[in-house]
Amino acid sequence: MNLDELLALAAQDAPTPLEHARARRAVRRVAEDHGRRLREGPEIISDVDLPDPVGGDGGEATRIGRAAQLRKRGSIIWDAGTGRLDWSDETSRIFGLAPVEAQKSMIRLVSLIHAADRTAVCRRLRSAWRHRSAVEFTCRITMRDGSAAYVEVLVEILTDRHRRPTGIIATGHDVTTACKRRQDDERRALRDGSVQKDLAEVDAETGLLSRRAFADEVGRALRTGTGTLLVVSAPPYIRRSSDVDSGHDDRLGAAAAKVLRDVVDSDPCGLLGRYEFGVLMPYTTLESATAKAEMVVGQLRSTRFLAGCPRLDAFGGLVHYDYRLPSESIELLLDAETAWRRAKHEDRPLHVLRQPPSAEDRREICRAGIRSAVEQNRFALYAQPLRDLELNRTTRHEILLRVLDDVGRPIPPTTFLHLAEHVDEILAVDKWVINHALRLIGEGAQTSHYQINVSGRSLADPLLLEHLRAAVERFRVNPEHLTVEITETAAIGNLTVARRFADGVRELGCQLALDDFGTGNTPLGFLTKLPVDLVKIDGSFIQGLPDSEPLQAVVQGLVQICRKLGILTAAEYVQDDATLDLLRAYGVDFAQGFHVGEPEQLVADRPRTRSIELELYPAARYRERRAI
Amino acid sequence: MMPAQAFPPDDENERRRAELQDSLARFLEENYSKILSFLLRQCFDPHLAQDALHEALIVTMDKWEAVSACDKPLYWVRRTAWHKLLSLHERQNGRSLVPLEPDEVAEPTSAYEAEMVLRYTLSQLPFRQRAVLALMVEGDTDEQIAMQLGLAVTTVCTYKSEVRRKYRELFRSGADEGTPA
Repeated sequence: MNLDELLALAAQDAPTPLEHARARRAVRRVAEDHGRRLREGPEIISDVDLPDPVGGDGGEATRIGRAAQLRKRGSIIWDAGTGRLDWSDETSRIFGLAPVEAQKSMIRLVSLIHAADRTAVCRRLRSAWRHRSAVEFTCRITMRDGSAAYVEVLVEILTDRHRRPTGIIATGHDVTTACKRRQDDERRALRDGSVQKDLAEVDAETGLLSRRAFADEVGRALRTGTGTLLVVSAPPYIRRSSDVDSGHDDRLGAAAAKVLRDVVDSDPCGLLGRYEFGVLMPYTTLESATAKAEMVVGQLRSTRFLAGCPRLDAFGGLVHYDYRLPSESIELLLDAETAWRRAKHEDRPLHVLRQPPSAEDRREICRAGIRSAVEQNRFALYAQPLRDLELNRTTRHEILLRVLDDVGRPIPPTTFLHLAEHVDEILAVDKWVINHALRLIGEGAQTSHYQINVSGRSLADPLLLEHLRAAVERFRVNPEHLTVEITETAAIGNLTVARRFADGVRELGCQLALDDFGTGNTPLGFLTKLPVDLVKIDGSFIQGLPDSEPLQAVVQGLVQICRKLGILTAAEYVQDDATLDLLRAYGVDFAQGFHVGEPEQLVADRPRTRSIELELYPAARYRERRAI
Repeated sequence: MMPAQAFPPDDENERRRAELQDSLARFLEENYSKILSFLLRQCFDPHLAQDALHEALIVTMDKWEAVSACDKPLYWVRRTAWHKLLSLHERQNGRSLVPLEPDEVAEPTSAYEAEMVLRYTLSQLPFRQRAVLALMVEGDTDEQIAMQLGLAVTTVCTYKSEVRRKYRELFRSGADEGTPA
């Protein structure tokens, strides 16, 4: 059916009796209203055009001009015959000019249009004139006082009786407010799409809160009242070193978490480490919490054949907290962890701390633990390849620290390092890393470029730089093939001291890098204030990059900034080819991640640079957990 | 002036007023629904359309003497109502009205179905083109449309071809019908 047929069909629609009745009622209401208004005031003031639309005196221009005036639109008329241009008072008002503006010319009009829109407007006018068709557009104008405004314009071609074009009339009005509102609506819509929906950090495998999110929960509870914190360790009775690689660990963790959740019900639960779970029980007395904790540990112990594991070996540490005894969430977590170790040591299911130990004691316990780890060399060094995206081959390795757990298996060091920083023992760890890493590098062929991690907190120690210099000399490491990565940049307290360290590192011939750039507490100011050679864009910006426009915008912008400043960029957590392609397109220099290459233990001979691993082993999750 | 002489003109006035009232009643009887449906094709908000018509009719009543002298009083009322609608809409901060959902558009067979297809087409058009299409339903010529809407005749021509193009675009997949003229 074409439009004309449709219109004919629609026009057949006669009003129903109901509609007639409705019309009569409406007319009666109009009459009443009319009477009332007549009584109230003598004149019904209204903005209507009295003359007959059909009869109409004057030409089209007058008619349109009058209609425009009634609707408070400005009008501009150009007569093709005389070339004269004229505009109404309303137009003058829109332009912010005096109503009796002597000079009304085309040149003057063009000069009033915003410079950026001028060509486009002229082009549209010419095309309208050529095609004898109306055009509508919104453009900016410059007012007399220099401010700009948006106007919506309708340009029409005037014709005489014989349909010959005689001129142009433009009618328009100020739409700045509406335009700005629309722009803001669009911006808001974009923003709503580009902001993360929620910040809840939940472990993908277990559905429990991440360590950081759980620590936040504990912190909040600590400030608001009393309660108890339970930390349960539930490792399998027999552990095999192959568990990690086979993904058995993750399955078991998820299964144990489910058992845990079933018992504790609604209290917040967190995944604190491998086989380690936290349960926060706010507003509970120690007695009821003890009963619940015993139930949790009992349930975990009595569970059989969970995810292929015959038996779990569960211990619980319970600590009571009180907002009147000041302590931090990290300290409370540490207390509870110490408590379950104590329970294990004493071979009891649960150890209850009625009161957190004093700050001194806690610090001492913690320090002793870290020192003993350093002294007993309970660490291992791994090297993970970084691929140069331009050459498309591995040219660098990052040296990673792994802490060995009580049965000698490597675990990611996040929690350990966090604690070490908290009690100011990180320097010892950093020195250990420098010593051992540089020794291993020096013993190898030094064909790659190595990056070692140093905590931002250690920078304050003047001894660290000395230590580094000595190690570089002693182990004959080529300083040009060494980059010092500053992790935990948030801990850089004193910029002057950090700058001194950075300058020292560069004097040695080494390079400087910022780790995890973009999250935590790394101000952009560091880029100009510290002589940084490389920035590692935080993995949270890289994961899911191909599917997220907001992340792409952030990465692209960061890379642009760095390039202009002469800083190299590296991307962590690269997990697929699509991400690699994007990063290459953005001009990122290096890529790192399980897709590029897994960490391998650094041994006396140089790390074997293996071919690209296209298969993702479940072990990849270790690296991810480091981010938690 | 003698009071007695005032009677005949008064009488005349009375008669004239009655006549006007009569013609107004007849006019409204005939055209109320027509104008309302014209407005409804503009804004899809019955309340807004009724308000605009209400306002326009109050003015019409007040000025009926002049309006009825027009060649086509309907055009005058329709133009006034349209302007009222536009200014009411502007006062609503130009909040755009909810567009209609595209219905299952098969070949319309009744006036009602045709109206639905028409409404959907209208909802896809900018407001001046919408008014042009609504007047095309009434069967007005280009000049008549131009006069009622305060547009140039060439503009009406442009808009009409725009409307046809848009209609074809919307219902191109409607299969077997021939292309509109």
